[in-house]
Parts: sequence; structure tokens; C-alpha cells
Amino acid sequence: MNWLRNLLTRRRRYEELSQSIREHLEEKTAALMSDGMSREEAEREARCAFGNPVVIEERSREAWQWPSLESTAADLSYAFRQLRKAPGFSVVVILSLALGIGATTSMFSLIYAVLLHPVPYADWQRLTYPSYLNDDQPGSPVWWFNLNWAQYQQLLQAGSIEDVVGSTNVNSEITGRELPEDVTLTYITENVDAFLRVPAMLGRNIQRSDAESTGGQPIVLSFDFWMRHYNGDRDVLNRTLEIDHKPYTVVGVMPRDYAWERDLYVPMSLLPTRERISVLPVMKLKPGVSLATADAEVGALLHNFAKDAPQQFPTRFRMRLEHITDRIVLSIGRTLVQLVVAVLMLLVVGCANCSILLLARGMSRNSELAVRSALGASRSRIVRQLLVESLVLAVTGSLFGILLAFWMAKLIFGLFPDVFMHESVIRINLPILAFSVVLAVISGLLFGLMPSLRMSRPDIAQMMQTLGRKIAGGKGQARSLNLLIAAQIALTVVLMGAAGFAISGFMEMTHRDSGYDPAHLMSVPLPFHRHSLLTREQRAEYIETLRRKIATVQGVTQVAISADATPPDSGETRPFEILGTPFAQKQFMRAEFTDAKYFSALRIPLLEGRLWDETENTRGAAVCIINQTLAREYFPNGNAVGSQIRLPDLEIPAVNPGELVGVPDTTGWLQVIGVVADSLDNGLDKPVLPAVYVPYSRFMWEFTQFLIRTDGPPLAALHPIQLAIQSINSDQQTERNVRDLQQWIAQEPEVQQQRLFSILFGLFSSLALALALIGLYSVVSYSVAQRTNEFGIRMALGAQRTHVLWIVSRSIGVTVVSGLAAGLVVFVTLHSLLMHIAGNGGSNPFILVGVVALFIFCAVLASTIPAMRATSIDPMQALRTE
Amino acid sequence: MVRKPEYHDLFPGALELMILKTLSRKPVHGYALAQQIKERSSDLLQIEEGSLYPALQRMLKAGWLESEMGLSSNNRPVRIFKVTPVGKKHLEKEISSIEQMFAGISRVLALAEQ
Repeated sequence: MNWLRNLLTRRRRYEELSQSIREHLEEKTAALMSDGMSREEAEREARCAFGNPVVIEERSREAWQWPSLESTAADLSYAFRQLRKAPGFSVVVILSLALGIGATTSMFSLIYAVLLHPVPYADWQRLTYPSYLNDDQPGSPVWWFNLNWAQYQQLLQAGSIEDVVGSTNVNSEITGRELPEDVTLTYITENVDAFLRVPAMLGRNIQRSDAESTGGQPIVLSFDFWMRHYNGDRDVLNRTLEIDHKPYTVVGVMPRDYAWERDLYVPMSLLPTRERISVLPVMKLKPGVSLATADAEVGALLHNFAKDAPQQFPTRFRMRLEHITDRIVLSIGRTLVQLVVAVLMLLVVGCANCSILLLARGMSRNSELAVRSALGASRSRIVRQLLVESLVLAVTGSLFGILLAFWMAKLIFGLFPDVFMHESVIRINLPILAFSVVLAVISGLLFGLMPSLRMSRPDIAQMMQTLGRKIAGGKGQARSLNLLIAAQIALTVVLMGAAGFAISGFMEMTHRDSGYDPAHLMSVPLPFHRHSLLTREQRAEYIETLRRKIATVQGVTQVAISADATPPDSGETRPFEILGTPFAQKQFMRAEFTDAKYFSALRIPLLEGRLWDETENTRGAAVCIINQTLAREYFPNGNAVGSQIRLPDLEIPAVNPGELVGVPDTTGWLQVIGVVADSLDNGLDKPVLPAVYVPYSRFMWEFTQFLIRTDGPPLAALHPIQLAIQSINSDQQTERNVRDLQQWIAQEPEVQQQRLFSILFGLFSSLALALALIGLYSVVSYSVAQRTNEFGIRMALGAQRTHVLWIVSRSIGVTVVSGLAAGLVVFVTLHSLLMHIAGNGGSNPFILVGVVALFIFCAVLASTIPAMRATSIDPMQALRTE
Repeated sequence: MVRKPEYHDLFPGALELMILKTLSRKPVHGYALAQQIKERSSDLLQIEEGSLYPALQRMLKAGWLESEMGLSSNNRPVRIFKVTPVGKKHLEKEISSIEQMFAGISRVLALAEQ
């Protein structure tokens, strides 16, 4: 505890030290005087021989201190004093930084959640989806494949694969309640717990032991289901849940970020082996195995499977395993990177703002620094002091920034849930905190260094002479200020331009002519139960019965059938063939299975020919209707009606009876009987694809979908509709994702992404604008204050107010205009890149004009207010301000 | 700008060594110490008197010295510095290592002259 004793006796040591030094000087003086010097001479001589006693005492004291630590502490307390002395300045600086750091940190936490740590699963970097490229349909995205149980067992043996989790989803319903509730039951292989290693939130996950146990049927709940069905009741374990009239015992609840599937999990062993015919295999590669190696091995295996079961796979395909995060990285990664560029620009603008304020304030501190320097402070000491001040500002700013960041990231996640992976969760954690601290330090150095280097070199002699008098700042300082302002303006203009383009792109997307009327329309999907309605006639009849019943519900005006044919992204991409023309490989269109009422329900006009009638619908007649794009592209002579079209791959595989039912010749020729106007079928941001509408009764899945038009808000009619459905079949549930079609458009990922993009870019650029204006305002105010004296003289000598106003605005005007010009040059040079950033954004050149006009308006406002103050100076008072 | 009061022409620890040696002959106060070192080096070493004090404080902290009140040669009450046993040990060790160092240097220099 030596250091403690030192600390406690330090004051006595200091006293002894000063005493010794005093004695030394006195004795030396006395000695010199006895040699015959005068007292004055002797004292001077003694000091010369001794050196600067103040500095020496300071240095001697340091022996007892932790010098760097203690002088830093002194710097800190001094910095806080300085900041308290100028609260307006401190608040503006801290706010500028909080915004910059907050926005950057929130983007980083999004990136962390979405790209760096997207899923909670063990070894997620080695998890891959079962995906391949279908060479029968070149240019189509990767497809996923399912395996039967025997194939799954063989896949487990593959050398490059450590383990495989297989799952099968089954449409089910929760029974024993007023209305059956639609759920997806996921049968999952029992190795899942060891595979993903995510601890359950309550109880446990499905485990290997579940495969052997015979008593009871365990079920594990997803977080979403637990919240939805049990309202987050923690006392849920061992309760019984009735699904499809069978009891299950709840054994666990998984945490929120475990979103493998989103409802219920049961052991695969509960599914009879003969029903395990389409198992989705998610593979974990062995460590060090590359995707290419795995592609080769799994590909060979799959081509073997395809030999035995050709109907299960396309005729030609290539393995293309993808990491489970690849898709999200592709879809959102680019957007996030662009947003990061934007927030970094915002941060730089914020830092520039701080530099500007520090410099402007520093000019009035020149005399203080000159005094410190004259009293013996070294340059490095002053730079350190000034840097500590900036760091104090930066750290305070970053504290607010972190709070802001967390709130902002949560808000973004909450507002745009579908843009991100369901597994991603925003948390404040060590990496994010470390990031923002590093960011604070870097920005503190960034904005503090330049001003402190400038300010630590005061011209002492000049300063001392003009001490206490406000003098015009040095040329160098004024130049740095103007440079900073111009840079700030340039960055702000670039950001504003990008925001303008993003917003106009969003407007274009949402105001696009969709070709259909989504108002008062909702889509009600209906799953069919396994092993029911096994013939085409049964299924069609059931759908018709339901349709007629729903039409009787109060408030319902129209009911149409659309199996997966709901715009704006409707139908399935399939190849097609036109009778009499050679079959082109790359000829694709959207196949839509609907009834004839579909067109009037969506208000899509018939342009040519006729619609099919009831009887044609009932028997699944070989007729079809095409959209305008198909007619225009493939029948330029207007002879579409009467021609024949064929869907060669519309076969019904014999894999899973009941999964698909249809007429015997599903791939036969269809006669085109009409042409309808285009409506969006390939998303809101892409051109309409050729489409063919086929009577739904020709080809049916294990689900259907009703499009229901109502008088009032559609969702309000849902409950009576569900009751009507139940009066036909008490076990018939509706799917959970019943959607209002207008809402559906708003929830499309591309709309959400573009909206997110526009909002964030708009927000960031308005923050940048605000910061730039604050910077401008403070520089003008400062320069006006500096030149009060000069203006007073000018006005006393007869200068007009307008002339003074002109002097003030001329100097700042040059800076603003050069900043604007630089910003525009950068923007135009990066135009193609920024078009890219703004997504499919607008190309309207007027946006740029608008941006410049807006900026000039704001800049004039921000600089006129302080400039006006300059002109309202009373000359006498101005001269007295000295 | 303030010139750093350090002795660039002395090797590190030299000043401490001289202080220890001087004080080990007789405990004295700061002024006398400065005078003695000056006289002894016959003004060959340019030493700013004040620079003794940071060194003295460091040595006090290291426990090589201790200080007590005493009287100067002209009977003024002054603070006297004297060497502790730890300081003595340090001095011996330093002197022997310095002697070795000088011996080494002279050998190399002698070799260079041949």
C-alpha cells in the first residue's frame, strides 16, 4: 500500500519541496550578494542558474503523481468547466454528435443483427438450404427440393455433411374451440436440438429421446404462437393442446429469435414413415467443406435420386447450395450498405459542424490560449487540453447517441418487420457499445484535431497586445472555417439529392397504375385437410359450395376464386408453347388459376373475346384468357383469340396423392377465348409479365383462395364469413394471413424496402440539412460579432445598412455557392451510382433543381438572421463594444 | 516555449548517481548539494541547479533518500537529504555496472585506435 501512503502524505511532500526550493534560491542570492552583487542582480543571477522555479516545482511534484492520469483529470475538470460556461455551444455540439453517432450506431446495430449475427443457431455459417438451379427454366431463381424418407437417410451419409435436419409442414387446425384456428404443424427430425443448439425459453426443444418414447405426444411452441395463443403465459408447460382432434402435451417454448418455422414443432416420429414423402433437408456442412465440394457430392446424390424418381426433379438441374443467410444478404445487404454510407456522411457533417463551432469559439479563446502558452504551457499540452475537451463532447454526444440508436433501430425493426429475417433481434451488446465508443473517440479526434492544431499556435506577442479586444480571426482560421462549411454543404446536397431520388422512386412505385382495384377487397386463403377431397370433382364442388355460401354473408358484394393469383405478384412462372410456332426454351409467363368472376372482382376489363361460363368452369374446360402483354408480344397481328396455348410442365406428379388434383390432360392445348387488360403480376417495381388465366378447376392444390369484395372495411366481414364457412364444414379453418389487398400492397417487401429507404434517407438528409444550417448560422453570427467594430466605423462613416448586409452576405455567399457547386458536381459524377442507391428510383432532373432551391432558401434564411443583426447595429454602440 | 530542463549530455541515471555519491559522504541540503556537485565536476558539467529537485523527489519516492530538518553551514534551518540503506545498495550496484560499461567502452575505443 505504498502508493496509498504516498497519496496521503503528498501535501506535506509538496510543502517541503517548495520550502527547499525557496531556501535554495534565498541561499544562492545571499551567497551572490556576499560576493558583492546588488540584491536585484543576485536574485536574477540565482534564478538564471536555477531555471524556471514554477516549472521545476511542477516537474518535481510529478514524481509523486501519476502524471498523465492526473493532468488528464485536471484537463477533464477544466473541460467540463469550459462546457458549462458555454451551454448553448455545448448543447449544439453534443446534439450534432448525438445525431451523427446515433444514426451510425443504429445502422451498425441493424447490420450486426441482420448481417453479422443474423441467426441464433449454432455454426450458422455452415448451414445451407437445399437449393438447386433448374436448367429447364434458365434464369429462374434457385429452387428448394424435398426428399422422401429413404433419400433423407442417404443424404445423412454424405461425406461433406455433418448432419441434416428434416422437416415437413402440415396444414392443421386447433380444434375444440368456437372457430378452428389455422396452424402449421412442423414435423421435425429429433436431432434438431443438437443441431441448432438454441436453448428453449421454457421447458425444452424436441430432442433425440422423443424418437423412442411412446407415451404422450410432445409439442414445442414457437414464440409467436405462444404470444398469440397463450398470451405469453409462462405457466404453459404440460398443458394440453388439441390439434386436428388429437391431444398434444406442451413441453417447451422457444425464444423469439428461434424462427425456424413459426408455429408448432412435433417430433418426426409422430408422422408415419410412409407419409414422410416430402422432407425439407437443411444441411450442416462439415467444418472446412466448401460449398463447391458439397455441391458436387450432394449433386451427384440427387442426380441418382432423379434416376429412380424422375418426376421429383427437373430433367436438368445443377446443385447450388446456399447459406441460410444468402438471401437476406442479397435483398437487404445492399440497402444497408447504402444507408451506412448515408449515415457516415451524416456523421461527417456532424463532425464538421463541431469543428466549425470549436473553431469559431476558439477564435474568441485565442487570448486565453496565448496566456497559457506564455505561462509555460507547451504546445502538446495545449493540444491535449483541447483534444480532451473534444473527447468530452464526443463521449457525451455518444451517450445520447447510443440511446437514440437503440430507439431508432427498434423503431425501424418494428415499422418494417418483413424487411428483415424473423430471427434477427436488436440488442444493445458489447460489440455495438464498443463500436460506438470507438466511433466517439474517432469523431472526437476528427473534429477536435484540426481546430486544436490551429489554435495551439497562437502568436503570443500579437495576442498579448490585443488582449481582451476582439480581433478578426487569422486568415488561416477563416479559410478552414469556409472550407468546413463548404464541405458540409456539399455532403448535405449529395444526401438531399439521394433522398429526393429515393422518395420520388417510392412515389412512382406506389402511384403506379396497377391495373386492378384493391379497395374493399380481401384475400381469404383456405387450406384443405390432408387426405380429403381427393378427386377433382369433389374439390371443385366443395370450393363452389363455399363460394355460394360466402356470397350470402351480409356486406359481401362479390366472391371470386384466385388460387395464388392475387396481384401485385401473382401466379407461377411456367414455360408455355403456342400452337403453330416453334417451342422456344426461354418463353415464360405467369400461370393464374382463377374463376371468371375474378376479373370483375378485381375490375380488370375484358378487351377482346369472352370470359368462360359456369359450365366450362365446372368441367375444367380447355380454355384460357391471356393478358394484353402476352397478346402484344406473341400475337402482334391481333389474332390472339382463337389460338392455342399449352403449359407443358403442368403435370400432376404421382408423389403425394391429393396434393394436386386436376383434369386428365393438364398439359393439353387451351383455346384462347379472350384478352384482358394488364394488371401487376410481377411485383410493384417490375414490368408486367405475360400471363394466362386458366379455369381453377383444371388444376388444384391443397388450398384455395377467395377474393371477397365488401361494402365496408373488408376485414370487418371476416368473422361472419368464417361462421358461414363453418356452417358448411365445422372443421374448415381459414389461413391466418387474411389480407386486405390495399394493406397487402403496403406490405410487399419491395414497397417496404423502398419506403424504409425513403424514410431513412429523408430523415438523414434533413438532419444533415439542419446541421449544415446550424453551422452556417453560427459562422455568420460569429463573423458578424467579430466585425461589430468595423461595421460601426463603416456606418458611422455613412455606409448604408444594405451595404453592410451585402458585405456580410457576399463573403458567406461565395462559400455557400462553392459548397453547392461541389455537391452538385459530386452528385452528378456519382449519378449512376446514386441511381443505384435510390434503387429503381426516379430519374426526374427537377428533383435536383428542387433540392438546390430548398437548400438555397434555407441557407439564405440561416445567414440572413444574423446578418440582419449586423445591420441593426447602432454605430456608437458598435464602437464602444471595444 | 519552455526548454526542457533535462540533461541531454548525461546518460540516464547519471545525475541520481552523482547525488547518491555526494550525499553518501555527508548528508546536506539542496543548495549545498548543488554547489558540491558543481565544484567537484570543476564546472565541466553544465547542470541547471533546479534540475536536482525533480531528481531528489524521484529518489525520495524510490526510497533511496530520506529527508529531515537540520542546520546549514551558516546555521539556517534547512531540509537535509541523506542516503538510506536501500540507496546505498543501489549506488554500489550502479557504480559496478557503470565501471563495467566504461571498461567495455575503453576497450572498444582502444581497439579502434590500433
